Amino acid sequence: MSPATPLAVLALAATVGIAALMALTRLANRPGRAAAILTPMLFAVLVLFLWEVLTRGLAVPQVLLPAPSVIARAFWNASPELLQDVRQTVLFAAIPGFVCGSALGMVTGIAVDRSPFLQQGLLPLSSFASVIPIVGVAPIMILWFGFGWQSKAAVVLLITFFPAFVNMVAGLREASPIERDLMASYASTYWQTLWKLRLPAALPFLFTALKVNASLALIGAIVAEFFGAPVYGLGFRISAEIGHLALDRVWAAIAVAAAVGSGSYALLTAAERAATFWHPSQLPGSDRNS
Amino acid sequence: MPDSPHAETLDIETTQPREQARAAVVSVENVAVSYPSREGVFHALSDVSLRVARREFISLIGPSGCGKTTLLRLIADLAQPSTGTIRVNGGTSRQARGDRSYGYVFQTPALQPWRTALANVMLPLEIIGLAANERRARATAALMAVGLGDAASRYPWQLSGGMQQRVSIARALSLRPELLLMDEPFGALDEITRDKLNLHLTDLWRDRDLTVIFVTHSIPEAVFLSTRIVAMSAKPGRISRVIDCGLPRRRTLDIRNTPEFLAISKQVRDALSDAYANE
Amino acid sequence: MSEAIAGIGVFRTARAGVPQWSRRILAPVVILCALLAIWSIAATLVNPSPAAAAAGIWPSNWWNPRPTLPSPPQIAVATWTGLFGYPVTSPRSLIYHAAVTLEAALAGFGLAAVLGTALATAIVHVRLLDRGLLPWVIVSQSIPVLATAPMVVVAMGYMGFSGLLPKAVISASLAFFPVTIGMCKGLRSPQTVQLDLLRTYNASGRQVFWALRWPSAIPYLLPALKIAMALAITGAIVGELPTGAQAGLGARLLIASYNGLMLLMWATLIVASLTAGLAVGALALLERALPRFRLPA
Ligand SMILES: Nc1ncnc2c1ncn2[C@@H]1O[C@H](COP(=O)(O)OP(=O)(O)OP(=O)(O)O)[C@@H](O)[C@H]1O
Ligand SMILES: [Mg+2]
Repeated sequence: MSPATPLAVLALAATVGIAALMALTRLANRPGRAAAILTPMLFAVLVLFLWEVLTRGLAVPQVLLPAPSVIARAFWNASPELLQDVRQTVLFAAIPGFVCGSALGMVTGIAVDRSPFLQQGLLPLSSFASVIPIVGVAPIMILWFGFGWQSKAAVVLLITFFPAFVNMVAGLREASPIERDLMASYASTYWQTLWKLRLPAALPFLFTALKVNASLALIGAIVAEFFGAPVYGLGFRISAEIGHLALDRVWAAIAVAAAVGSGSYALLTAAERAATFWHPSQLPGSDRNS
Repeated sequence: MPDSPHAETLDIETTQPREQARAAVVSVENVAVSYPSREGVFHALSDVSLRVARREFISLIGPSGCGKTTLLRLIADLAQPSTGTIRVNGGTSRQARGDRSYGYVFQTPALQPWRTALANVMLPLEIIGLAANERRARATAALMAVGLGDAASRYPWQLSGGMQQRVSIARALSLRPELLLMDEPFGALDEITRDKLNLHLTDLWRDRDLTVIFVTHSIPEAVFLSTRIVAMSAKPGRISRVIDCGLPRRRTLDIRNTPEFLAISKQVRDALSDAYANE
Repeated sequence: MSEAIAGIGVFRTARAGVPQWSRRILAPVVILCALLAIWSIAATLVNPSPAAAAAGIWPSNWWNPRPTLPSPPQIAVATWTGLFGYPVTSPRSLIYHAAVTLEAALAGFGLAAVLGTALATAIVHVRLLDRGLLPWVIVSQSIPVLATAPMVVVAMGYMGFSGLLPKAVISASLAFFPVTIGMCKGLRSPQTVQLDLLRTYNASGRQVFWALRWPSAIPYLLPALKIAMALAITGAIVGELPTGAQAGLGARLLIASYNGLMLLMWATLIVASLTAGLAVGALALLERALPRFRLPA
């Protein structure tokens, strides 16, 4: 490729950008599902295109922002390492921590259900916990459990516990008095009411907690690796390649993390749709952001 | 009984077809509204024509889903017809909305919870850019007109359902429109409150020379308030019968026991039964 | 079972506003004390007693200079010394480090609040952004934005920025999304009938915004800002991890980590939590001070 002048590149980018935006605006104004899916996709393609053209055409230094094609190549070349990183960070740290933390939080929520005193005591503490930077316990966990995945899983467990607990408590309050009275009129036992009424009614809350926790788990596992890790792991990869100024590899690792994050979110959303199809937020015509 | 029933009846008679064409406040001609649906096209309204003259009180009555709200929204330029034309005050409905020439009362009060009753009534006056003292004066007057002068500084949640609905009527009146579009404004109220507000509404209508288009599900309400009753039927939504209602313009609740009232009620009921039978 | 339901009833009334002060304060305090008691017992069991049973304060396991699980009193003393044992300008003072972190977090928070509100306003008004951009904003909640922190520090360092600015950018990039999404929801919260009402007045887009959308969005804004504040502080701390920052709670934590200083870790962590708690608490107070209204049912 012959080097283009910056002015020519800017002109090209501006022309293509404006033309594409005008076309996209027309698409966005069309009703229907196809337009609703195509618009964000094409929008992303446009952003990637402009990113590529501008970084290459203006010769933006790699340290600042590598072009998408450079990142893609780095991804391709580094894929064996990245696979190992994903195994370490996601399979060994994020997922076990996520499962244990969420399960423990939910079980605790049920355990304190019969005790308003415990609820009143634990809820303010839990909301405080949701405000503080829990990830900071990572160095402590490393001292306790070593540099391996165990310390990261422990961090993730601690982070995911509180959203699960808070949402379980809130969800169990969701069944209305009328519905409870109905169960009471059947002389239903506490556990029957819990199982047949209150847990199903709590499901939307539980899925909210799981979705929040999925992203918290990934963030927790990666950031915990910033404090120290064996020679693989997504967080390790990011901080190590930064040291070599290999920004294309850093971006490749981030892209992998983003893919894992949005993939798990998509899975959970699908599960939520299947499990809570009856909830108003899932019915057609409901606000799509809620 | 009213002081000069004959003069009042004469008023009604001037609203006969020939004069109507000239003086029509609202004219709806061959209007249809259709929505795409799973089974092809759904006709919410089909071939609806209606002319409303000045100082008329029109009630729209009919089964649920027959398009009453849709018709009202067309007139208010909140929705557009698929075919046909709508004229308001001789211009398009768009122009009428631009001129703020009507007041619309929704089925729910739709009050803003962060505004007091008075501030809610001032909302449209803020939108049209009146000066603050003028706003306050007009809004206070409108609240007085619906009998809520002493509730001005209360918030919506401190008012009963009937009071909230009266605030929303005051809000519509504050623009001093000559045309009032009302969509089941009293649907959620108890009978006695409803009676009171009906009485109030006829007084306002008569004293201010308003033209009103009023949606209701209640036959007695329609007969008590209206000069003409438009019975509609569904699938497709259309006008099935128009019943003239020659009661005097000055009305009290006792009128409901007169034979005329009962006769008109029966006519409306028959028209509605037909509409339901067609379903 | 009836007991459980009655219990929940009690909670509901409490939430509905009947002040149950004693209970509301008492319960968390009792639970906290219980947790601290368990912790203290664990500390006696876990920590070896120091060779020279120091100072004769009982139990000596609580005062092991290199504890596995520091006891609550030991942490309290370490935190107190960190906060008040040095002049606030000293690099050993935790107040100094907290101020450095808070400064960056607040800068990032302010940036995110302004940009997020602006973007939400644009999304609500421009269909292209609504359909093309909003889905990505929502997806981005599920991707670990924080992982980009080291890169932001390096890239901005390359451009000649260091210290507060890169951290503020990281904080803002985290805090930005909840503000945007919260404001989009808030600006869209008015019911159709409320919007129709303003249409009957032929109100302009700007009038609809100020008379309806903005006031409706306030109840959504403050919860979003609280989340944003918590994220901004986490962002600033993580922004201090790479490239050996000299000051800030994150830098302190990293130094403690490298040198295995358990007590310093705990003290720093507690100060970080207090900082976050105070910053979010300030927003909660602001939320209370704002006039409240009930949302339409
Ligand atoms: N935006 C829309 N899309 C599809 N169908 C619609 C839409 N708006 C209204 N309809 C349909 O048009 C028909 C008429 O609706 P409309 O609200 O006018 O009924 P209505 O006579 O006011 O009924 P009700 O007495 O129950 O208020 C209904 O069957 C409704 O389902
Ligand atoms: Mg209707």
